[in-house]
Amino acid sequence: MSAGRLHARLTARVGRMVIDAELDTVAGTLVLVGPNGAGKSSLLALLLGALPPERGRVSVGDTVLTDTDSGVHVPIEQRRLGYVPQDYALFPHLSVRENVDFALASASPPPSRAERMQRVDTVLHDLGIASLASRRAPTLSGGEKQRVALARALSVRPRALLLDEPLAALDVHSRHEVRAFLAEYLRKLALPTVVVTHDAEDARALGQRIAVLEAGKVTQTGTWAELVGAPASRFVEEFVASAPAGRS
Amino acid sequence: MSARRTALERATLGLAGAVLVAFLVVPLVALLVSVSVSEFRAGLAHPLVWPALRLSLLTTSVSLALVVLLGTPLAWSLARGEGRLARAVETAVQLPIVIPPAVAGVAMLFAFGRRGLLAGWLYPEGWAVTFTTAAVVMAEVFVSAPFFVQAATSAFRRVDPKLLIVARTFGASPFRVFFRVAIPLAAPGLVAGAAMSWARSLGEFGATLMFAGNLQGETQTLPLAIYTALESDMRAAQALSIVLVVVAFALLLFVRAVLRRGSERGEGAS
Repeated sequence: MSAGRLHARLTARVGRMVIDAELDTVAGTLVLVGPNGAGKSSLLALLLGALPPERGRVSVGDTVLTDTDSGVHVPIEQRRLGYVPQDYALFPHLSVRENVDFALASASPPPSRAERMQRVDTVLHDLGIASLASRRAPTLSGGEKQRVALARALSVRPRALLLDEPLAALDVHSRHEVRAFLAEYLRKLALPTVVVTHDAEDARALGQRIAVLEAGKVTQTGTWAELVGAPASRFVEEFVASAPAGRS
Repeated sequence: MSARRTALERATLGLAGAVLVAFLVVPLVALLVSVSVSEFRAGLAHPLVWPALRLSLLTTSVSLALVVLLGTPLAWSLARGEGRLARAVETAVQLPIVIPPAVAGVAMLFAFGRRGLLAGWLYPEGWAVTFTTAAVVMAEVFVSAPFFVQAATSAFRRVDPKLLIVARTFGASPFRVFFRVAIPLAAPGLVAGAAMSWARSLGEFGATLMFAGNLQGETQTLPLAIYTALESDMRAAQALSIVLVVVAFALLLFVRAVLRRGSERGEGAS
């Protein structure tokens, strides 16, 4: 597991906020929580390479993606990080199959057409959406879009996966079902994953570990039980209390 | 407020609008109703008409191709650029919209004329582009490109930046992002911009007259032919004008249809 571990220590100025944070997926999924404007999405952008850090280092396994000390800054195109933004960002002018094929054909050199077709079929089948292959993105439900976005991101065999608010775009009814699916799927996937969420129930269901980001700084990292047992800040205390009682 | 006063105020506002609408529509109606079919046919048979029509179609096609070919990448850079340079370039590119076309023609003479700024470099043989069909195309590009670039820039700005970031995470090259994501998603805006730009170049008069002159078959486009015909044959001028009005009206309907279809499709959304 540690071979594919995503580790980041980053300092950056985004607008008026200073982000100074360390993230480590250790095992499986790390959930990043925090109040609005704490810098969660900016931190994802820094991991992706869409924003340049002032100082810091990002690595997945033995691969260094950013290292300001040695001047390494791998461009987005070569990072091989799977990214699923909040609204899933499916290409609206393409079908589900074409969305996935776009990702596969973006490699240089691209795999052969036959190989791409086969890999599209495989990944759509894995996510249980083979029947949606010829549907156009805007006609899909939220849960379906999320599966397509995951299929598309995973089709290119990324080093790690970054999910920004994967459940926020869903209505209450589908949310529960999609959350259960995603938790189970990410567990089986065993890929270093960072999930940003503002929702306590999502954090509890999805994360082996949870990192709390407040005003650009990580104020606590631990399992759900650790956060409940010894909340490090008022925000953490209120956050864990906001999850519905029951499983823990 | 009394109901009577409300009604009066509404009527006042409505009347102001109605005056303007009438002023805008009456000339076009006059153009259309004051001609019989046979007069229209006779007007179109005037020897000025067909060479001008042919030349207008030729030059506006070439200028449109140039504008789209060079303007699309420019609009893409402007839409993505955030620095002061991008804003300065955007302003500079919009200038031809506000400067009078005749001034544009004079400015082009000073740049590309026989004794212009670039003459020594452009014309070592003494030949000059002025007063040729190529000069017509240049004048049309000058006045029409800003309309396309402006529409294309705002169409590209409406493309969800997340789609572009996501495309790049797959390894997509800048060309692939541009041709396979940005252009298809901005297509309705690009097509509408191209149509507006074409309409502007079809109607171009002042800059063409200054820079390319009014030579039948070579630089005399439809608007110049109308101007020339006005002195000899009002019916020919009217027939040509009607042709241009019909073309312009068809373009307007086309642009609206394209833009409506674009917004129905929900461009940029996923």
